[in-house]
Amino acid sequence: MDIKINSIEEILVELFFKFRDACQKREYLGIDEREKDRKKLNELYDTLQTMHQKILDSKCYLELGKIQQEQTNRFLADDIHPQQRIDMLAYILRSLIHPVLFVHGKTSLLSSGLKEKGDVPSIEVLPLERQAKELEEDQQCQTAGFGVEEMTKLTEGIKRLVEQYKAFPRWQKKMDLHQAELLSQMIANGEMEIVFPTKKKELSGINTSIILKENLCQT
Amino acid sequence: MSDIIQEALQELFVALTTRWRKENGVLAIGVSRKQLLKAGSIEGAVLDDLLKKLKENIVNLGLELLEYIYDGETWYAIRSTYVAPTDLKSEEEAVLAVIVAHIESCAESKKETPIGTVKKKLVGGKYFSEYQFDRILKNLEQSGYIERKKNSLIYSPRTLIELSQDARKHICEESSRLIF
Repeated sequence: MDIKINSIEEILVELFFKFRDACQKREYLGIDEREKDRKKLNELYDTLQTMHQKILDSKCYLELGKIQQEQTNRFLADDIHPQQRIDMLAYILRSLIHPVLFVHGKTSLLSSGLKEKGDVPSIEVLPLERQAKELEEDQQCQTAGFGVEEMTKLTEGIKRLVEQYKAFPRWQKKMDLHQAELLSQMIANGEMEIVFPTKKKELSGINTSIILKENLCQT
Repeated sequence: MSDIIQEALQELFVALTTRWRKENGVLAIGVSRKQLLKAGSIEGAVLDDLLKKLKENIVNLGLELLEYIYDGETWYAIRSTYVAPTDLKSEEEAVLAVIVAHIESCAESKKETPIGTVKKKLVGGKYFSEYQFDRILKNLEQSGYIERKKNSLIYSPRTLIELSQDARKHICEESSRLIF
């Protein structure tokens, strides 16, 4: 009987709210829908006829009381932030719980335990001693400055080379690229002059800084 | 008490208070009778005697030995006689309380609640995000408080052990006042 009453309540309440909302929003409910609702009520008619009026009334008042209670609760809880209400509920559970005792053992999942077993230990690669020394030396390198003194040394070195080997082909072979470039600059500056007598009349008396490229016969 | 019995009681206590997980990853609450008999290679009567002695010994420590049936097997666990903190976080406790409230408000014969109903209340009511709710539910499941049965949630032994019938009813009443 209780189950039947509950379902009657549900049907009636559903109908009540539907029509109330439609009335408030001034909505029109179609004929089909109203016909369905009428059929539902018709089916309930026999049950409602046999049901004692007092039972219906008492159920109705009980439901009204529940609605009122819920509305009051909502009103009272309205000032409390949802997170606070969550914390309050957590506190209530905490104050009633008698926990099971766990003294030792793993808290992690079995799968994470298997993962831990599979971990490969990290391998540390250490540099060789020689490499380490080289690294140290590199760190000790400093940029070399090139001033007037250094330039003087280089030019004096070239002059000595030229004077030592007199013949052009000899000191040409002894010179490296940097020395040859410096020699070209010295000749261009007028610091040095190299004379090559030539059979070609047109080249006679011409001084050039590009001396290493000139293959002339010498006397 | 002889040394052998003393040692046996110590081992039994250690076994019953070990935190271990079953194959499905869920925390086991205590140890089953079958496992105790197999591990100790003892008779049933001897085990019963040991359990009785252990029960008497731990009472003075504020602990009690419990026996419960789960999946057709008898299990034993040790529980605190007094209220004590759990290893759950605050948010997990709240969700568990809501689940308890929903299950308690169901009919006696059908002690389960659809996950969707709880989710609607907590996620729809903007208490938690969907991700938070799923994560908390998973933790509660792994900790042995609840079980999933298709699309519903039911109690796991730990909830029934740690929260008495009266406690669950009280939580149900309070939850209806606080969570909408």
